[in-house]
Amino acid sequence: MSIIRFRNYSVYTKDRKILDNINLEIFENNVNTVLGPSGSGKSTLVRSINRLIEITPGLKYDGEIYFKDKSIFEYQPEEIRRQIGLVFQQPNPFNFSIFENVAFGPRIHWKLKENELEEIVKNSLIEAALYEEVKDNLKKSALSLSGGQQQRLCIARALALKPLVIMMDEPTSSLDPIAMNKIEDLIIKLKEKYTIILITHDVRQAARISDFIAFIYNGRIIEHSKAEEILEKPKNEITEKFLTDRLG
Amino acid sequence: MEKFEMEMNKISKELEVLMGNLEEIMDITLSSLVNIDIMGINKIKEMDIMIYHKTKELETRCVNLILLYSPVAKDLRRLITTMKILMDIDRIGRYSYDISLFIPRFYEKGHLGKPEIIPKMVDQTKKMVRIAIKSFIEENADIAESLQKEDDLVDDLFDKLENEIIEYVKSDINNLERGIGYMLIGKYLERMADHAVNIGDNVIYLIKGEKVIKL
Repeated sequence: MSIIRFRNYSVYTKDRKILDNINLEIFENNVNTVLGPSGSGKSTLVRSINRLIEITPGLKYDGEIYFKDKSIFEYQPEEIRRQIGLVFQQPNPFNFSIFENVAFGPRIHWKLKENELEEIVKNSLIEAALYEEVKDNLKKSALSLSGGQQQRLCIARALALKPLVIMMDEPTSSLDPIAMNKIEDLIIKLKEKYTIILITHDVRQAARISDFIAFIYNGRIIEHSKAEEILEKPKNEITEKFLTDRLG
Repeated sequence: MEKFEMEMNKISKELEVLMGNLEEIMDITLSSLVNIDIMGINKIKEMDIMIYHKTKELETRCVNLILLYSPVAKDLRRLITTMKILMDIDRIGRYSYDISLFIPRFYEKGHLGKPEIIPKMVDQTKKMVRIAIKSFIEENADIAESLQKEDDLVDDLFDKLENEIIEYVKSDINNLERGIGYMLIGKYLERMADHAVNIGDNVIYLIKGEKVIKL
């Protein structure tokens, strides 16, 4: 079942289209990967979903994006961003303690008692597979964590807001292979409860963890299907060339 | 992926040579069998061992490519196809050797009549292997698809062989030992033809990405 739907959605500047008539379904409780080379429009696509495009100067859009069958433009932007979390390429913890990083979102969204907040922080860190590593140091600065831990902290921060969808924009590109493996294992675990949208240009990563892959090129969705289908037998020649590193 | 492509092309070229070796071993096997040439067995054995080792070497190189490059799309299909074809080549080579082991059985008493069906089966099987090789080299799915019909001819010949052997054995029980020999040779040839069909099926998968399913 799809939780997000793009319908004839385009984003453009004065001179060119960044996204060109996107029609795409994001399926619930699956890892939905948007795969494509640099500059193909991947990040613009996810930023459209949580309404960051409309506050970016110089960009215009038309068409529709539906979240749970309702246009995203009918939601308050804050509500969309709570329900659809975004994890960036570079881990970006706040210069607070580990605890405060996770508690920050729930504290401003809901009025909570301290013990309720502690419960949310603990559960989010457990879900992000970080709790065991930091449980005795929750008051330490988040900046003292390793890159991989910081990225899992950012995932915990997104989870603390009880989202339905988590978007991850190249979440492992700045990490070493061990930290990358942990994040990939985590993504596979998280899809049981959440819908994952993964942005990557890494074909091997897409192959390891995706359920569905949308290949985007020059702002257009070239092909979208089950991961094994697109990886074994792409229908489009451009997809084939990208997958086999023969594009350009 | 330039290195991947270079190594894959090398493997494909060596696979083509190996397929040529396969035709050769089948030729030697047929002439040694028809002429009851015991000396041919050693040559067949040598060739079978060479084919076996070469298939294992190429298989290892394919595995290395998977480990190094984790290929997808047509690169992945080419590797899978190559590895499967290597198995078929190994089996066809081995069946040639298995057939050669029956040659001594005819040494003392000669063939039962003039062998006709077996040479026809060998010719048909060789034709099929040649078609399979061509379909792979030319990446031609139409040629590969024609193999199924060719295989039906081998099956028909095998049925005829069975009836002929039954008649030979009925007429004289002393023909039993050679009769069983022919039956097994016929069965090996029929299996070789099946492997040629497998090669064709894998070529279809390589080109179209569709697995040929047979019940």
